[in-house]
Amino acid sequence: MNDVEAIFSLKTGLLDARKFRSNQATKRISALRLSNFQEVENSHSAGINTIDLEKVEGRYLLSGGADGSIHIHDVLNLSGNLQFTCKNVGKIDRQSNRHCHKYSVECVQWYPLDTGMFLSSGMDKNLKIWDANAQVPADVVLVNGKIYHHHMSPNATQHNLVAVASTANQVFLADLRSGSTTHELRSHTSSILSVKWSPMQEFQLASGSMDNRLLMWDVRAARSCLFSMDQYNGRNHADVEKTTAHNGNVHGLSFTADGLFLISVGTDCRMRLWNTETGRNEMVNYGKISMESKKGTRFDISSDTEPQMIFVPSQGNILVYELTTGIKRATLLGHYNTVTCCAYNENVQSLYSGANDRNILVWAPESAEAIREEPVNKGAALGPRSIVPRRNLTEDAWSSDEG
Amino acid sequence: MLNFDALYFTNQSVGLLNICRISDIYVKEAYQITMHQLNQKHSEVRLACLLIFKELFQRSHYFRELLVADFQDFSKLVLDIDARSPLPPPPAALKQLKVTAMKMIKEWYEVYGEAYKKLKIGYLYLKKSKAVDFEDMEARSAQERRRIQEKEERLLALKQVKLKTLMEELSSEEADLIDCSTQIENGFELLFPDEFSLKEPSKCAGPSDSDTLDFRAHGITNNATFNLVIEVQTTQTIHVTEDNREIIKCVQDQYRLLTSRFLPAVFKWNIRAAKLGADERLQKKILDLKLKVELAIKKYQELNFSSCNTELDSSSESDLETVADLDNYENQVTEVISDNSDELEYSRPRTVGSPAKKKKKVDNERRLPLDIDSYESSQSNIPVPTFSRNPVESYWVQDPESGLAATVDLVTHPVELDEAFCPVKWSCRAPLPSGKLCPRNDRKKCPLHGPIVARDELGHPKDPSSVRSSKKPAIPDWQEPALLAEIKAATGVDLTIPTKGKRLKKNKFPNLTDVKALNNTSRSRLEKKVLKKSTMRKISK
Amino acid sequence: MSKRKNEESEIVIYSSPVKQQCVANDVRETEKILRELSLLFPEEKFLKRVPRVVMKHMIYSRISNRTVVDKEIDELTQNGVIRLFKLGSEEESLAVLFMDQYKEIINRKCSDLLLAKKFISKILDRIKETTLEKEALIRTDFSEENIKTLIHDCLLTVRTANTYWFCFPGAGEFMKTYVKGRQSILGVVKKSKYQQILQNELELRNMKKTVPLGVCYHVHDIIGADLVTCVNTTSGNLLRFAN
Repeated sequence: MNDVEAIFSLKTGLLDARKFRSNQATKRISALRLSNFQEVENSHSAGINTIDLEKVEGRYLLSGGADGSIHIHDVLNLSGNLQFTCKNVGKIDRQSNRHCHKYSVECVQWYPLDTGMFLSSGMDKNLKIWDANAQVPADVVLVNGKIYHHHMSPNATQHNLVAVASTANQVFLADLRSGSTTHELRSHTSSILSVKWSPMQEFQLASGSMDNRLLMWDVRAARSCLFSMDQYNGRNHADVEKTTAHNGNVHGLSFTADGLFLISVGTDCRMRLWNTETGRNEMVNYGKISMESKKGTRFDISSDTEPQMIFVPSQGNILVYELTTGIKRATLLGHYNTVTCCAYNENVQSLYSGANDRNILVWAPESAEAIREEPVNKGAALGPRSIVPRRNLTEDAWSSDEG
Repeated sequence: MLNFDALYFTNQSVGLLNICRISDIYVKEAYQITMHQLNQKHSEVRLACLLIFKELFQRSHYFRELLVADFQDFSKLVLDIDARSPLPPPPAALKQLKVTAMKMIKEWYEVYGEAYKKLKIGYLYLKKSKAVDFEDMEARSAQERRRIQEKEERLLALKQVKLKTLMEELSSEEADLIDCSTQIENGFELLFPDEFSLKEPSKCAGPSDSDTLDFRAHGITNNATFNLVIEVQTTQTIHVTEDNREIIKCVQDQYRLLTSRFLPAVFKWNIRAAKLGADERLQKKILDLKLKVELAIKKYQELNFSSCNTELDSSSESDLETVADLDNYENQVTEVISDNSDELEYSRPRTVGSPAKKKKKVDNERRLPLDIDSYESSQSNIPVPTFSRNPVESYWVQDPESGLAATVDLVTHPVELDEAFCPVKWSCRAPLPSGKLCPRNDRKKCPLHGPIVARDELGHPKDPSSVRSSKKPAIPDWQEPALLAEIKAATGVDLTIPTKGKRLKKNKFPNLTDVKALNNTSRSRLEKKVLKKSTMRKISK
Repeated sequence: MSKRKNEESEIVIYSSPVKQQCVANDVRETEKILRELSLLFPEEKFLKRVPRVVMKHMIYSRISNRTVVDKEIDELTQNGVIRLFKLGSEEESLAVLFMDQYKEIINRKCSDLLLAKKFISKILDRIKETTLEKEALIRTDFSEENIKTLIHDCLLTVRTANTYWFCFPGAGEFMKTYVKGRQSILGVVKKSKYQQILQNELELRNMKKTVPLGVCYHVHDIIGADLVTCVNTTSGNLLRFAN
């Protein structure tokens, strides 16, 4: 169904609005490519370890670098031009701010409810709670181990806990009100590489660690974890005590937006889909995803498309898989070094990705053919070299003197 | 070395472009094939691939997209950005490769950067993160640049230090120099007051009538011009009197000081200042000083001071004693040595130091055998020179108590040949398969053709008995090079039968420089033998 | 020819095969392919010592939706049509055997027929996994002697002190030839110019000595194991070495 028919059906009530939206989103996602028009201003001077897009407006993009610096970019295009550079609106680095992290920043996250606050954690064992406008930390939580990952529950109303994954064998829960760690969840036998709260259940937490296990916790429970996810679903009789989720470290976790499924990525180059109620491995075969780094990768899931897509960084590329079937839909090439993180923007169906080559790239649904009309603001948009309009550059230029 | 410009629009490249323009499938194939060749470890091959890329890049959009997608690998192969995978030999092509690649990438970015995002990102990445200097067409990598910069800085610092020392020296010596030269000038003044300088020009009478020559008044009658020769004494001699003895002495002393110390010093400063590129004022100052000194010296020499002897008496009481000439010293020494060795009788040897005489005058009494073994044994009864008792403090000297014989060497103990050397006047002249005659000049036996026998003009031996037993020669007769060359030119087939042990070498890539041959230096060959693992292990044990 | 526009270099799109839609619940498709693949196995060469073995990843070369394949294999295993065996240490080295053939070779090769029957009925029909616990054997009245015989007959292999792998006779020989064949075929692809070769060309080469299992068999194997990428060209399939 093409767009005109779809809109007609929508108006006449034949097509459900949500279905319409998801159809459009899916169509756009399948045309995802490196954006020719949008780019993020290049302000990092070291590899980018983590990015996060705020959930409120989808406007501000937070990124943490390997030199301890944190940058904020404004990705909303209000200029009216197609050609748009996302400007850097805030920078916290060693030269300008004495509160900056001493070592690399491993994880950043916006406060889920507004953009006045964000959290950052890194190799200097600090979890810093920043006031975004003043660029000063409101509080610093010291943790007993280098922090690999932290996560704040996106829908928690009854608690203000931040789960911290560090080199210590326990999951620390830090309370924002008191400014220190209150709980410890013990069950892992090695450092914990990633933690994620469930987006539906505010007390449910998943943690993946270097001992190859993926555990599900309910933080209210007094006893240890709820269950450990077993990749063989209990069929493997050999090690009954130690059920492993992966044959390597579990270093990336992500819940789907409805909280029903959990995706984990491991250093054995596999990705697995788990049912969060039962802990079963859904046995979806995504094939081999080559991963070089042992540290966590931040991958994202598009929840508004049907079928849902997973964007997972794999070395220099970003692979797009269908969630339920495991078919690889696309490979996005563009980065020069290992891609470390990607974040999906639901509002415009674009993807932001950060890599070790200090770039943040924007992937937007654009067609390969450049827009035929001249851009609105002729003078400003194209540079002095645009005497040759863009469409001529992408054409073949076989000269006639050969043969 | 390939001439890469000649590649453009040769038949082959035009053919390639013609194929590619038909369809994008061919473009893709061409891309993959060329990329594969780009991975070869030979800079000339990579450079050729680069040129192919250049042609296709500006023509096909699809090709541009393919290359831009693999831009990382491409830039790693043609630019020197990854320490783990350096660019391969040969070195001349390597440099050209880098420069060409940088130029090309820059061009592409400038033209196509807006349309191909990844190219833009790639270019900026290379520029920023990998520190590829696209402006520096000498293709120096970041490290080289740093090294050169450091070297320059070091040189500059050194120069400053040198300059500083020069100035310090100058300032310290300057005062003395000026002092000295003023003294000497004053001395001159005192001794030769300038009588001829016009001190008061006012005294000088202007042109008056009294100056006009009135010949008549002087007794010269006819108006003929005549020459008057006045002898001017150019060399003045100084008469040493009691008054000016001191002055003259002082002047002489100062002169000595000038010549020995200040003149060379000022020369050196001048040269140094010029080398270090000191500023003008300093150089001028040094030049002034130099001029001063030189002038003083010149004047001194003109006035002939050196000859005047200010000494009261001529007895020279110096501490030096005259010693007799030592020309015969060496003879005397060797005489002493020869006297000491009384076991061997030989005539007086020549002087040790003259190497020119290789042959010695006839030693009739002693003849040494020509082979080394009996030579050795004939030496067996010579006592070996030993160390003296105290080896720590002494050198290798002959023990004065027991040391009798000197070491025997060809210098003292020359070898005589029975016959005089007469150069070989004949050559082997055996017939070669090429038709020529063997040119070897062995005395008795040619290693290829056997004993040297008399041969006629065609090379056949005169004496038929010394002909080799005729068996079919390994090289058939028709293998004449002329005939073979003809056949090769006509048909392209090379019919030479390779001689035993050799194989016809086929040069697969006649246009490429052989990388293996580049590495095949004498040093590497020796290294293989000397630094063998087994030998190294033995040494380390 | 619209290939020019379809191929975009920044995104490589794998179109889902038509087969995928109709295979959702149709188990027989996978089974059919399995039967086809097992026919590729040259049984005569081994003189009936080794049953027809198909590696699980060979199916991926025919059907691209791997999840579906996995699901179906699961179903087939549960239904007792096929059985999976773990042959190596990697995750990928799973061999598929049809149950009827497996039973046949057990009956043929086993020294103690009664024991074999008991084994089949009590263990094989109940436990469908690749591993077996010692307790299960003991519970079903297998003595130590019996276990020893089973191991001797290549039906069980020791994994840990208390667990065993299921196995089939001739597994060792199969593995050896399989590995050797795979290496030599991969070697041919690697050594080819540009590290790619047409499937037809590969099949033309005479590799009977080095590849007893057959070139066709191994082609499916290396495609399914993602060691080469298969590109469809006008002159057949082009196999390109994936590094």
